[in-house]
Amino acid sequence: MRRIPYRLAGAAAVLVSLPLAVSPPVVAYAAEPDYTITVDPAATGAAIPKSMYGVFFEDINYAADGGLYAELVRNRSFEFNATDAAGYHGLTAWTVAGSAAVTNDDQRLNERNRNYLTVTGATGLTNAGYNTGLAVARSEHYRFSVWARAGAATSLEVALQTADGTALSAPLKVTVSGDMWKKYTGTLRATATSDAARLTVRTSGSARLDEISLFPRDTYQGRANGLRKDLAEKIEALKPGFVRFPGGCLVNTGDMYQYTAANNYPRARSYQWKDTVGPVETRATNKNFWGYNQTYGLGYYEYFQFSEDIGAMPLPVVPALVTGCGQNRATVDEALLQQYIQDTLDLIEFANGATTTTWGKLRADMGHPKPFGLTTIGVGNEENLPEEYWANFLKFEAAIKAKHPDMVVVSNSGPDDQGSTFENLWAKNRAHGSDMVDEHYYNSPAWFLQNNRRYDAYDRNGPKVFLGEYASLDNKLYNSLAEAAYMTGLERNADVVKMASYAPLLANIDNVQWKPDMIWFDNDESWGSTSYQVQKLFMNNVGDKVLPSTATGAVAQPKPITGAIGLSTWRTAAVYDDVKVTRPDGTVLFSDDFGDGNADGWTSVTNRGNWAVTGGGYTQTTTDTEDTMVKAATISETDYDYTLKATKTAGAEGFLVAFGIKETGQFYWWNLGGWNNTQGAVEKGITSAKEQILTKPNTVTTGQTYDLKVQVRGTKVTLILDGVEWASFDDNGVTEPFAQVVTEDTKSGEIIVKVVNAQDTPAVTKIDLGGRKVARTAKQTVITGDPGEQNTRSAEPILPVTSTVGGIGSTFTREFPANSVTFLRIRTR
Amino acid sequence: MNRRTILTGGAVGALAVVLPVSADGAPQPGALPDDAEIYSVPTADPLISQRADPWITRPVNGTYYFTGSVPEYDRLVVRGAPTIDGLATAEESVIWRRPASGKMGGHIWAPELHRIGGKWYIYFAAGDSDDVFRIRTYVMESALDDPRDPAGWVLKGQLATEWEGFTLDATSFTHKGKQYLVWAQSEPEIAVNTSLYIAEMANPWTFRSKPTRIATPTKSWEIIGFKVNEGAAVLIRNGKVFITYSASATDANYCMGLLTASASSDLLKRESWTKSPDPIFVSNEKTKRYGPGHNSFTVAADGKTDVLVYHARDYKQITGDPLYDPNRHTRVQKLYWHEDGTPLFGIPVGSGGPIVRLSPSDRPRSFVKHVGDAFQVAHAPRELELTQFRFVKAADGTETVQSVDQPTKFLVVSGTTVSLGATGTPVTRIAARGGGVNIRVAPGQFLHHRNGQLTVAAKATAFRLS
Repeated sequence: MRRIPYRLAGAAAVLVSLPLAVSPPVVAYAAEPDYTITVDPAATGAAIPKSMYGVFFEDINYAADGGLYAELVRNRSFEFNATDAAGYHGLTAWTVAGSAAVTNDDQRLNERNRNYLTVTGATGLTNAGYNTGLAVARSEHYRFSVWARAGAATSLEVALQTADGTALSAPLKVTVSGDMWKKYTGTLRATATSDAARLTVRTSGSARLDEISLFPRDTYQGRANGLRKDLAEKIEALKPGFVRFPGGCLVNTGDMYQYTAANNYPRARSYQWKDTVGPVETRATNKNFWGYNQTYGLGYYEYFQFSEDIGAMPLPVVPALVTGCGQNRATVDEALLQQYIQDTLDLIEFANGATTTTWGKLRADMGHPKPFGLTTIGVGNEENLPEEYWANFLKFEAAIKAKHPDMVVVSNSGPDDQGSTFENLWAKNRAHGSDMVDEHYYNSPAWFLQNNRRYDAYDRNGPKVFLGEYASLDNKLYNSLAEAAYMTGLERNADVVKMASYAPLLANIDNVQWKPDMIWFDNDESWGSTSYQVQKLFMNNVGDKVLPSTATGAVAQPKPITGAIGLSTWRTAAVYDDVKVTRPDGTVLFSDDFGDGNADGWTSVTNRGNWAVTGGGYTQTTTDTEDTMVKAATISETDYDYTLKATKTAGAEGFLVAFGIKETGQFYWWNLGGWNNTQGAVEKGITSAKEQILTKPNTVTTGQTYDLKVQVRGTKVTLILDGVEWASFDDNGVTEPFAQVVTEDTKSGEIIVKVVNAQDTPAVTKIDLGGRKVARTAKQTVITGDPGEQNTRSAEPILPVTSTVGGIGSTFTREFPANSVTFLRIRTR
Repeated sequence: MNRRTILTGGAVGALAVVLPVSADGAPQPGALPDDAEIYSVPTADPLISQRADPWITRPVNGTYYFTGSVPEYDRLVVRGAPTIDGLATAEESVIWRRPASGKMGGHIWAPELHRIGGKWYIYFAAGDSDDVFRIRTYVMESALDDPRDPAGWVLKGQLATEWEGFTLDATSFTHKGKQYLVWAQSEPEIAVNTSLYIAEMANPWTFRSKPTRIATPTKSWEIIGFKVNEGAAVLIRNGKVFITYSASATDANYCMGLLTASASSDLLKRESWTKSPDPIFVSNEKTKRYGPGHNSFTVAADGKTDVLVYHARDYKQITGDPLYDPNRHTRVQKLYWHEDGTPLFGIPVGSGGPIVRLSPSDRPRSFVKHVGDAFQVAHAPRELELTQFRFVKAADGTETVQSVDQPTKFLVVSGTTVSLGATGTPVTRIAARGGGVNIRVAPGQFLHHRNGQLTVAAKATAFRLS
């Protein structure tokens, strides 16, 4: 790391690296500090809106059913089927002793609740719940309900028990009276604690049953059809300024048509809010985009109610008939578009309309006559077809603004932080003057440390930014430190960045489609990741205005791209040949034409695929394996050309040509024919994920031999395909391991100094508060630890520590620990 | 090597062995120290060829028992002998072989033998025949007194961990009346191969508590090749619970780390445990021992000297997957203790005779130490290997003093300067009055300690060997 001054034009002195011995945090520092923070004495910074930080709830990783939604019974309405997920059926999670059949006929409970269960004779039904079972706690009460009808007098005996049949509650007796659908309820009290309980319903005779439900009485705020308390409270503790819901890719993927007979009840539908309101037994079901069933028991009313309960602004996202998320499809149907627009207007009526209106009345009927105060609405999510999306967005926006001129309508810029879709959509939004643009990106920690200044360059008068989804790609403290450092940049730019939410919010440990995640859980426990702790610290200490400050100190210069070269494939068979690495002057550093019949010198990185030397080339023959990387020849020089011939023989995609492969697992690869042979890219891989450096359309033709050349010159890489430059990039970002922002909480009269030190050495820092008179002590909260550690169910080694510290003044020096986030709340005098 | 180049009086040296003389030259009665007795630990290296993940019990009814991984990964073996040395040649009993198909038909790894409540238990890791790497931990029980007897062993089943996943290297210990298990497992959220967990046991095959993660690979030396913390071994001493473990891939990068908890702390709390920032036992190019680790602890025949049991290869370059290179051999060496109560592991000591450390009688808590090629006398140094020497006997009865961590170098005297060099100065050890030895480097000239310096003088310093 080279120490250079930055951000202070006049600071010419190059700071000397200090051997930082362990020293108490408050001492007189004789030596020069590593860093300085100087708050401008006079300038006023951006006002920070209350909505600055929020949460993004999407039903991914079983976040709703089997997660935040407190229902303990899985597949309570017998609606699961194989469209939801392979192997699902109407009795998934149920075992039957006796005779029970899932029935779909005109005797059903409700038109949109298609299935019910027909029980013949005395029968036992057992539900296994989620994860290892239903989680019940000794002496707690559980609310049972069922819709039932029976021709002859039939009684139900309902109880909790263990998997092997030991009782966990006294039985509840329900007598079904009459052959008309009727709801029966009762309460069970658990006699022991278990995370593997079963719910059993034993019938004395034949009956029809539906909506067999069991909720803990102790839901969040005690609400009926409520939320799991520990999870809701963890979200509440964040003090989020907004809740973005219900997605995500969930919103706008799949079939765009309604759940009706005319449409043959399509199962993998876009998120249509009207499916999710009204009594739960009338709600439609749907396949969740992430590969399971969603009951919609947690629906729009519950989202609004939860937002209100935690004091957050509701921010719904509606579909705009265009998909991203790998589907990349536009549904062109003008009538349907008009219906979607009307649905959106109806949604605003549901949230805000008078109880005399159709949808306002439904809200009141559901228990909330007062409006929910919807002010902001998102249209669309990560559409990869910018032209089609934009045309529809304009129509949504026009219709909403025509009726609700003050409604903030949020557009978006596609699924990445850069690239052609991003540029295209931003240009359109700027030209149009959109209210706000939703950006999404998941990148390496290095990216976050290199892009602290991203929003410094944004047009102060252009559309505002909603950073709707972001995360650094793992769940370790180091990732959270990178996010924290980045958040100082968001706050500094609070005049442009109005909202930001880490994503995803929730993950059921046994059902993970995406990680990292902020809050993890199984059926009876939940725990916050280190990013949860960082988000909580920021959200609880926002302040309401930025005090402009500058910093000086060390940054890390980019390093040339060196390391092994590699070859890989992704569900594709291919032949590679004539592999050569040369210096720019042509000196050969490595070459293998596989003419010797062997692949000596090549080793497997991923232990996947089937590599062999056949016909004078290096062949990988599997077409069902992802990332079969092999590597050779560690290149330590900074300037070199990596050339090879590549021929696809079969499979879904194209080539992966890797370079700069480090022992740590970091690498770059040139991806040709990626994304089912639609797109090329350069990706930078880190331990467990990849970020895109650049992307452009590309396909690879089977049987055609391509000449590929990767020209590396330090940090600059040029990719040459059949002699023509295909793309180039310069991975030359300066890494800033030290980041800071200073804000003021006007109401409490406190200055909040927020410092992130994302490196392995402590940072002795001189802080100048610009002459402000302050107390001699401050409330300090520190999150620090081994940067490779993470919080899981088996241990939470990274937790915030709050204390009162002295030595504070209008100028003072503190040592910020290695790998730490430190917040100092300092009272002004 | 000619160790006699500066030898002037070989006959004197030979005589000295027979008839020790004191610093002032007068004959003294008294025996010279027996280095083997001082070292107390067998020096055969390897002790057992091609046995990895070695586990040697403390003596039970006078017998040491050994088990470990065999290169074929197909069976569980137990040896027994009245001495640690004897394990080298003891007959090996196969107490269990993996089934031809199904569960436990895959790789069989790292068995450990524990005596709990008057019965024998073996914890071992097994893959399945159709997926040899689907490794889970299983427990066997034998009510017989002799664990070598295959007839006694009964499979108790798979250890039911909090979550299903890659699980291996279980070790058991009792502390303050509670039985604990420490094991390695992969955890779904953590992008590493294995972390280390602890839990309290209701019985040897049933958990009483939920698992607590006490270590996950985070340091640069823990994540080379594979991101691994595994092979835990427990040693309770000096008011502390020490857990050694192994990290990185099973090639020359394999090495050992150390976790420490206070013996009075709640061992099930994550915050009770501290990981030492650096590895405590690593490959050594000079002694040519590579990838040392997966250790266990036993105690020497004297009943008090702690013995470090580990495996290592004696070459670095491996052809193919290190997992299938059979030459991880079982080795033993002495475990030392710093005066502050923490263990000193030093380096894999390699081949050679018993090892001693020298403390001057005027500074009994200091040790003769080499720093580069120079010598000094230092108070309780942590660099154990710099204080370890072997007295190598020549045919004439004189000895040279060989450095353990620089085995091609010996103590050399030139004038009054003492240093390390290729050609050792023959010395003669003479029993000193009041204990210890004087070390004569030339007629009337002895190793002499003064103010932390090691020099040569007519006045001999008595050195205590330990």
